[in-house]
Amino acid sequence: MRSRSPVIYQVPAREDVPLLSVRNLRIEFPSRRGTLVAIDDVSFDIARGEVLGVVGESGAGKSLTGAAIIGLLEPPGRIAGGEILLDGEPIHALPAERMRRLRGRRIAMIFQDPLTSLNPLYTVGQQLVETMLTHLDLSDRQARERAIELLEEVGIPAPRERIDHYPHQFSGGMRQRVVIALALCAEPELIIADEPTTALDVSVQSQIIALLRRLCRQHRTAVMLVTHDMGVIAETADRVAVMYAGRLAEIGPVEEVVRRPAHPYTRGLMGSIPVLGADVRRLVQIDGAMPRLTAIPAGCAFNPRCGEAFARCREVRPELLPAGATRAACWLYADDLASTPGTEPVEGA
Amino acid sequence: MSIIERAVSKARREDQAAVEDAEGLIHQPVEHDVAHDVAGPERDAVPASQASAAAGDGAPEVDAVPAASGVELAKAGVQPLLRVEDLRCAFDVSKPFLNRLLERAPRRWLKAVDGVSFDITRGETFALVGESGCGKSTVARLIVGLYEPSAGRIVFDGHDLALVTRAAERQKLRRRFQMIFQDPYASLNPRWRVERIIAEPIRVFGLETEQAAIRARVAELLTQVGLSPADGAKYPHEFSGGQRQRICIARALANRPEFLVCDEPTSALDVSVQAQILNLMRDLQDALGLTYLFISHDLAVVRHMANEVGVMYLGRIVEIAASRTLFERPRHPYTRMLLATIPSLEMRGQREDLVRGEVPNPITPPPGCSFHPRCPLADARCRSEAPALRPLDGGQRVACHAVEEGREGEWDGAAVVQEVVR
Repeated sequence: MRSRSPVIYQVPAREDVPLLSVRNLRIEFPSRRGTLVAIDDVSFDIARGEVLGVVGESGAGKSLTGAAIIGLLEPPGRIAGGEILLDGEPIHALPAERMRRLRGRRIAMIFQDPLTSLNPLYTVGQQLVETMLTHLDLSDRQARERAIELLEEVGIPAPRERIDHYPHQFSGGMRQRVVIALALCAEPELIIADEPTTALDVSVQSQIIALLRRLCRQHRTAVMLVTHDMGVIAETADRVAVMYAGRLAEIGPVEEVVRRPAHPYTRGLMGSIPVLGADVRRLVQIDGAMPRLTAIPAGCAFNPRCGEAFARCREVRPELLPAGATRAACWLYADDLASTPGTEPVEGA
Repeated sequence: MSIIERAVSKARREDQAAVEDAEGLIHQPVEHDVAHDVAGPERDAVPASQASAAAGDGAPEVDAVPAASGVELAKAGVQPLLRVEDLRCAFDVSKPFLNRLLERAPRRWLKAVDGVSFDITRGETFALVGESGCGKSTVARLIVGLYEPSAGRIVFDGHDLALVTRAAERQKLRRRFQMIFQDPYASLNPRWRVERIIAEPIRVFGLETEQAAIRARVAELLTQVGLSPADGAKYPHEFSGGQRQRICIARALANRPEFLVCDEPTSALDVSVQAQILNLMRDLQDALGLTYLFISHDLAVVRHMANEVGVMYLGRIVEIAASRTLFERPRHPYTRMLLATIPSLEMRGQREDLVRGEVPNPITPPPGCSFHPRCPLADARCRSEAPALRPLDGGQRVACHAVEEGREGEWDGAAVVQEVVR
């Protein structure tokens, strides 16, 4: 429907390689009381045009993973192991200047609070144009025309007038639309959206997630959607990764994880969400809280809260194992396990 | 000089006029009071058995003293624990006096709560739901006395709170209700130990005087909310968000209240912790016969907790119904829109048409029905005339011209309601 300007440099797509590949990522925070491991051996891929939801409780490490990918890890946090590959090329150890050019161009970010990602002293048009001129080979006039196009695309009424308005003249929902336009303006291949709708009202939230999903479909942009809201994930994501205490607990297609969660933690998490259709007297409750980074238990990090834990869970950390249509880091799904608890829907149940 | 003096006195007169205007508006008789009374008996008749049961098992006796204000409670049969009648609260958001004078700007009022009425039956949970700025938290604060209402009445167990003027009597009433706030990080004094925080209401109301008795009561409260008595010696920062909310609940329970106002008690918490807190609140309600006013923007949580729900939009209740009815057969277009916003697997990608617009600025609400700019059913009447809350069959009350005229159509959101997320 819209003709993309030919000047925009298109990266030749390599379909055989996942767009983003995170391999055995480990993030450490050196502290006086020893090194804290915030992300421990996390691996996942995101394909082109795919929306991967990353869900977990606060402190599970989901935002940190996003920050590491886009190279915004705040010191003293550092990548202590593993690698991050964009289109097959490692980006976790790029020099700052090269990372800066990549950021915004190939990987963009949407933050929770639209006010902090917009400069209050510049009009939204100036900010869009500046971003485009930094990354794309466009003239000022072309950039401005494209900015108007983008504002229209994200659903801002009267974009020709609104482009010269300042961020404070927009409502919260409209500001987040501007931020989405800003993220999309250099045609990135991957957007990391960190709680993009958490600061918004429910009626605005549903508009924003629908918009994000539609635009990423149209532009074939991959999205890593970080949120604590399972509803937003269910609505938006293709696949979902569940994080717990800096590790992946489960990863799989969203329908499977939502309807047939395999990991006991995911099951607890799903059960703890109140459901509209049913009269439940009590919600499923996972007792206790996520361990602090200083006290992550041996073996599976979830074992002290897990109703199905056995000896092996307390000693050896489980790998991601196939569990039905998803993969779960849980010993219940180990093939060599002689006695499986009877209630367990193991393997394609 | 005389020019300035004249200007000042003119501005003063205008201010006075503006105040009178605002008050005039406030004192206007409102139609939905009538609707309220019509709906009263049939609505109140339903939970009578529950209420009497609650009163039977140890709940404090219903006050025999006739209501000082002469509320016609007798005809309802059961006296609601809390009755809010035509509650209004307007905030002065005018510019400073000199600015008004120089810019010739009039006084401006934000009507945060604009004629809200509801009853809460003893032992039940009444929820107010709506988006930010709809006035739900203001209602909570008005009820516990943190704000002064501009007009309207709050009747707690037969006592009109505005008419109880004697300090001792006030104190006696105040002891019977408490509030739980949204942010457990902000509502606990970081310099106090937990035992001192929880003991504060006990000391203030003089419920226990001996040190040992206070200590025992604090330990009992901590156990009741799922913490250990040893936690009393710690400071709030040593606890997680969920545990802090437990401390807040323990403090709220310290003076053995009957009624708790819970303002978004779980909004700052993770879902698994939210489940723990909601379960705890349920258990405490069962054990202590508590009555809740539950305020939330999360419809699923409201559905889970409430017996009756009021949906608020820009300071008014637009629909009020039993929880099950509201979610199975919502009538007001705004309620329907809110329900359509709940994300679900079934509704993937079909959402953009259902929800539109944002909440307007409450200082300059649209004329007529304040929802009309976002409403798919709005017509000329909606744009000019504010609808009153009218009873429908089934005890539901809705403020909508379209519903009244029968043009609201069928609710086809069965898919939305049936299976959300799971």
